[in-house]
Amino acid sequence: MFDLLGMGLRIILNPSTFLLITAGTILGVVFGAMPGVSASMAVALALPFAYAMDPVIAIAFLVSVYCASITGGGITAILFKIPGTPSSAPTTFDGYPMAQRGEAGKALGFSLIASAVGGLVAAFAMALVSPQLASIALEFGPSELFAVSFLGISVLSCLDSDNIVKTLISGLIGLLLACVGMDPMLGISRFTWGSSTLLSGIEMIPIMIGLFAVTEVLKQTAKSKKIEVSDKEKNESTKMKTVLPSVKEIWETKGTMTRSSILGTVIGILPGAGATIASFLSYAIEKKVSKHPEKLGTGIADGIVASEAANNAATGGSMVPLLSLGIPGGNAAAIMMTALVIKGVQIGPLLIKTQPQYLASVFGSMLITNIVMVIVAMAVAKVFAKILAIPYTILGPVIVMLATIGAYALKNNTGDVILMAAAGIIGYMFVKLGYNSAALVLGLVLGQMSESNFRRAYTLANGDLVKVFTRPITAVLMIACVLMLVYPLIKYILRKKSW
Amino acid sequence: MLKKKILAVLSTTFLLGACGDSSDKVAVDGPWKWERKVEIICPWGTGGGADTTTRTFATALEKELGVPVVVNNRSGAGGVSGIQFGAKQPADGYTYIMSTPSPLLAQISGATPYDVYGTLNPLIQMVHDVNIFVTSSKSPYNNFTELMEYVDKNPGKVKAGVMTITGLDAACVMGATDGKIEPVAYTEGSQLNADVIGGHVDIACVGPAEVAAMVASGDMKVLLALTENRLTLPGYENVPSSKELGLNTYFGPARGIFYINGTPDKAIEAFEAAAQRAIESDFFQNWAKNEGLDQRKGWLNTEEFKAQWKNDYNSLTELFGKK
Repeated sequence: MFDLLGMGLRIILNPSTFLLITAGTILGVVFGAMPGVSASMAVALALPFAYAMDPVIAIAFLVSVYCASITGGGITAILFKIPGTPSSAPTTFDGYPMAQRGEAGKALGFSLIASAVGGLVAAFAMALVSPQLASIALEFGPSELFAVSFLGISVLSCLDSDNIVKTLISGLIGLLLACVGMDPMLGISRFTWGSSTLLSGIEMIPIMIGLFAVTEVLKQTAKSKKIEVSDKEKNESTKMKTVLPSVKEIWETKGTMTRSSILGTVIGILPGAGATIASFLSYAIEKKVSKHPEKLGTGIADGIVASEAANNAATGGSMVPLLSLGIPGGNAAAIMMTALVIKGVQIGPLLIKTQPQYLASVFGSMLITNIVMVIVAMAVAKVFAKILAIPYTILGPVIVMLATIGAYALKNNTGDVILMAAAGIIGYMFVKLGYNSAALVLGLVLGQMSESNFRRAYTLANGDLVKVFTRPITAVLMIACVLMLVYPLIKYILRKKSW
Repeated sequence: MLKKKILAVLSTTFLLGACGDSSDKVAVDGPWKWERKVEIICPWGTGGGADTTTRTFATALEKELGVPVVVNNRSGAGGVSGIQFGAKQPADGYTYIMSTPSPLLAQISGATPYDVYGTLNPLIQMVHDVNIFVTSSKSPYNNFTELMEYVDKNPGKVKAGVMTITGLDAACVMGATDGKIEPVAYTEGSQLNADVIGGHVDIACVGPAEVAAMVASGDMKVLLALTENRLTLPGYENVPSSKELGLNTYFGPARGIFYINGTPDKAIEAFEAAAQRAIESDFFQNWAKNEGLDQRKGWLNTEEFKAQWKNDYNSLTELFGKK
């Protein structure tokens, strides 16, 4: 496998290729930071450039755009609470509070290092054990994928331990919203009231932009007096140099880093699951295993690391089935496959034997991108962080404007802008009433995946529920779900005893 | 420094986009003169088959019309949102809609109350893709006849993965197997392919391009091509076609351009003539060949396309129409 590494580096370190990858990284970070431009859209936008390149270089270029766009999404999530890509939504939970405290530089530093580590872990996993990992992925059919997504939903019970009932209600609202649109199995419309916007389902991006960004603007507007003061404080504290995380601080997150990178890689490999689910699951699991779960969500490094390491690892993970089976692990990977197929590359198990240069090129590109990215993104973030010094009376409306553009750009549809606005108001009500927006998003993200996979598994088993749940992987995962659901209860009982 | 660099990269991008192919030639097709940009609404998102076909066509058409041809993606509701938007545009000959029979099916099956059939008027067909049945290489059947024998011995056991339950792929499954194989809807093509290889679902109805890699590597075998003639793609020589098995099912994604009610006749004629030259150009034909889209006659003029669209409407209503 070290041949592959050598070959990859030889391809990538060619000066012109290196320049292209750097350009791809810049493009990716900038696109990723724009709300509404998802990672797959960034890859699609970069595709015309790739057409003109040699296929080996084209794939390296596209991979760099892909990896960097996922990282770019974290920048706006931390600074403005706008998740640039859906997969950076959990980054806002801890990143934004840190930025509010004037630790924007530190938060960005953690986010970038975690992204790089996640990306590198996935790159090595891809290069070393791709065929083995891909064959494991094939074991995941509809019933197993249902179990994975249900595992994600069961995590709801511990997103906010002070408010379990309200959190569960928020999650259920999310699940209900996931039911809107065309029924995934029967093709009939549900809860659409004749609206064509609702027929295609409730899109995650406008809802997330509304719940996070618009709600935040409303919150800040409601307490305008305080902002004047904190703005001046911010001016002092947004100097990035002074607050970069130290090596020691980064080393302290090594446990989270490792867990999230591995989890992200595995989720990325599964067909149908992607970076978004990886980051949410990882954040939730961190909340489970953390020694101080109550601190997560208040602005600590672990939360940022969990989300960012996982979503970047998932990008590498999604390349595994693409290169070893010809099955893209997500939308962005599918677009890359189209590019390769047009160039006449035969993707599949034989690729590593007959045309190892492609695998090497992807591997090399992931290695270099994840390192170059830290430098590039740091510079981009510095530019972005300066924006924080702008008074909120100006910044707030600009954020709303960006949010509107982001929601509209998704499908060039005004319906999504209305959804975003509604989500912003609902999000504000949630904050006031103590409900949990993150739980709603989690329900919306996982609702469709768990519903359609469950019904698919049910149909494939001819309606035999026992057959659905006795598949070995499903059974193990479902037991884990049950344990997760009752764990807060057990902990509560144990704590009572010790009192 | 870096800010400048980013600006430079971005502005170059936009400049390239802006001045791509701004040839000074103003083509005049008969009595109609193209004066400003033409917009084609693609009711599906960027990167998919519908989008890439439309964009390739737009590039070729631009050279013929002498004015920019812009593709506007307005996705949602399985294509219905884009069509609804397109119908609201002024019918002055400068806005057209790209579509396949899928939104039509959404109307026929009752998923949308919108009158797709009454809104879209066929203008020209760009390409006509095919559907095939594939299965895992480990399956006990090697061709469609063996599959149906297996189904008769194990009734209700075999399921077919499709991408849209009210789509052409489901129509192919229902039509070719006489309803003996139940279609199961998938939402992600990647999951469908993985499930076929992993043996979670027995067969799948897909397009050749989506499974080219897996067929070439031997992970999947092709059972049937739902076509009039055998496919000429390499590796498909022994795959039977619908016609030779006496199955009357030939649905495949036909991608065409439609005009809005009220568009001037002169514009339609001029568009048709220019589109024919664009589709027949080497640029478009080479692309179609690379994509495996050369298996059926792509180009249909307005008259032929209208006849086919009507025919599709009738046969799909028969299969999926509300009883």
